[in-house]
Amino acid sequence: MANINSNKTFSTKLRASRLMPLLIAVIMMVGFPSFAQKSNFINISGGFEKSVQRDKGMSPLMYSGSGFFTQMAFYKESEKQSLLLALNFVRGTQRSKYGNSIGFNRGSIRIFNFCHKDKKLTNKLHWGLSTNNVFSHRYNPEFVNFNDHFEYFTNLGPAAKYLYPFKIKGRNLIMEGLAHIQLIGFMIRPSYTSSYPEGFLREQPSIFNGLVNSVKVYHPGNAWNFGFRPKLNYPLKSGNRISLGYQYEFYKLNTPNAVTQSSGIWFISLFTRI
Amino acid sequence: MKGIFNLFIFWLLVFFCSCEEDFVSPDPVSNPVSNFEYLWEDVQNRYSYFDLKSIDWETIRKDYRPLVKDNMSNQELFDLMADMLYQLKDGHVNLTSDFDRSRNWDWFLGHPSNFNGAIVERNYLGSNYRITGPLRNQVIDSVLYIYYSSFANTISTDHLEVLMERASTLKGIIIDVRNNGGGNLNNARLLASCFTDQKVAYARERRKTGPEANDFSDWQMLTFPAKKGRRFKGKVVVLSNRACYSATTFFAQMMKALPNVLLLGDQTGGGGGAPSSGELPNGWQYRLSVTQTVNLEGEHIEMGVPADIAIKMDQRDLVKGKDTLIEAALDILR
Repeated sequence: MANINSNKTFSTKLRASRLMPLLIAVIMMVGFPSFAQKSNFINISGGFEKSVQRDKGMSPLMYSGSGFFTQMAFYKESEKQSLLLALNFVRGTQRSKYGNSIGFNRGSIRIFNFCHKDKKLTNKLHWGLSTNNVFSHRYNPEFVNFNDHFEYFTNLGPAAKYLYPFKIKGRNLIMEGLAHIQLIGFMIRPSYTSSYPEGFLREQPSIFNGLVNSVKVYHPGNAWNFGFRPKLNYPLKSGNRISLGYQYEFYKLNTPNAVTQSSGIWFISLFTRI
Repeated sequence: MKGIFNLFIFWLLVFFCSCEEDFVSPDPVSNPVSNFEYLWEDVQNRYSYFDLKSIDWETIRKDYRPLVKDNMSNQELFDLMADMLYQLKDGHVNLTSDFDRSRNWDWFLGHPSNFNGAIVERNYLGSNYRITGPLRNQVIDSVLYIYYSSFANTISTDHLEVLMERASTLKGIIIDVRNNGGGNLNNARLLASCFTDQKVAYARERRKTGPEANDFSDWQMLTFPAKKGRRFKGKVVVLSNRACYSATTFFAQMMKALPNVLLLGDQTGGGGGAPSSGELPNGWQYRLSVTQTVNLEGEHIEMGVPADIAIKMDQRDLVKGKDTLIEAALDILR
C-alpha cells in the first residue's frame, strides 16, 4: 500500500536536505564577524507585547492578545563595526473575537551587524545585516489532538540604523531608528494535518534527520519577515544608558497552512558597559 | 525647543507604527453560508476515509447546501451541519458550539453492549479490589483481572510494575477494556509494552498531507516497545466490546500482534483515524479523522478490530449475575 510514486520526490528532497546544514551554517555565521574590541555592553530589557496572529492550521480567525517580553543582549562596538546579539522571549495569551483562547511562547535570537567605516556613528545611515532565528509555539487547550502548533525560521537580510543625537535642557539624548527585512533562510512548520513537521511523517533515524527533512527554503514570495525599532537612548555619566523603545515585527510564512504574526513591544532597557 | 520637537516627532512616529492589527487581514465573513462552505471544504480537503466508506462528499454538499438560509438561527445551522457530518459515520467527527456537541455514536449504540458494570463491580471486583492508578484489579481464581475504563486516565510504569509483580505468580491476566472509549495512545502503548520482550510492529498509518484526494504520506509502521523492568510472559486475555473506540481499538490491535494474547468478546467499535481539530469563522470548533490505519495484513481498523474468540453476553448468565466474557476468559486461563 506504500506510495511508491513518492520515492523520486523523496530522493530529491534527500539531496536538498544534505545541502541544508551548509545553508544553515552559512546563515548563522554571517552574523558573527570578527573585529577589534572597543566597547562592550550587556543589555537587559523588559516590556509588554501586543500581538496578533492567524495560523490557518488552527483557525481562519485572528487571535490577538498580549504578553510579557524579556531580552538579554550583548552589544559590541568597534571603530568599523557594531554588533548586537539579542536573546528575546515572550509569553502570553491571545483570544479570538469569540473568546476562544490560546497560550503562546516565542523565543528568538537576533543578530544585527552594522558597518561604519568612516567612524562617524551619528547622523548617518548605517547599513548592515540582520539574522533572525525565531521559534514560536501556540497551545490551543480546546483542541483534543494536535493542539500545539509552532513555526521555526532562520533568515538573513539587510538592516539599516540611524542615530540622531539632540539635547533637551542640556541633557544628551539619542534617537535611534533600526529597520530590517529578511530575504533568505529556511523554515520549519507542522505538516498539513498534525503538529509535527513533514519530515516526521516517515521513519527517520534521528530527530535531527527528521528536522532536516522538514526544512523549507525561506524567500520573498513564500515568506515575509520585517521589523523596525525606534528607540530613545539616555546616556548616563557612568557610560551606561537607559532606553525606551518600541519593537515591531511582522512575519508571514506561506506554508500549506499559512501563519501570520504581527507584534509590537514597548520596552525599557538598561545598557551596562562591561 | 528643537530637542522637544524631535522628541515629539519620535513618539508620533512610534504611535502611528503601533497598530499591530492593521498588518493582518481581517477575519473572514461569518454567516450561515460562509460557515457551511468553510466546514464542507475543510472536510473535503482533510478527511481521510471517503474512499473506504464510499462517501460522495460532493453529493452530500448538493443535498445540504440548498438548505442553508441567510436567516436561519444558530441552532438550525448547527443541526444542519451536524446532520451533514453524521453522514461520515465516524465517531471522531464532532461539531462543538457553546450549546451542543454533535456526534455519531452508531458504532456502539447499534450493537449489544456485552457489558454490565454493576455485575463486574459487585461479583468480580468485589469490595476489596485494588485501585492501582486508573487500573482496578482483583485476583480471581489465580488470575489477575484488570479493568481499565479510559485510556484518558494516565498510567505510569510504577503502576504497571506493581501489577506485573502481583501477576508474577498467577496463571494469567484478564485486561478488560470494555466500554473504554479511548484516550491517550501513549497509555495504550505503555500497557501493551508489559507483554513483550522486544519492539513490536502492530499496524501501519498514513496521513493526509494536502487537499487532493490522494495527498497522503507514505505508510509508516506503528510500533510499541518492550517495557523496562518487570514484564508478564504468561497468557493474557483482552475483553472487548463495541464501545471500545479510538486508542482502545489501537490497544486491541497492539495486543493482537502478541503471540501470548487472545482478544475475546465482540469486535471493537473502531476509530482508526487520528482526529484533528479546526475552527469555523463563527468560532464553533470541529474535528475529523485525518489519518488511515491498517493492520499488518493491510486491513483498515476504522470499523474495529475483530475478536479472536467472538463471544456475546448470555442473558441467562446475566440473570445469574455472571459475566459470560469473564467466565470464558477464566476458563481459558485456569
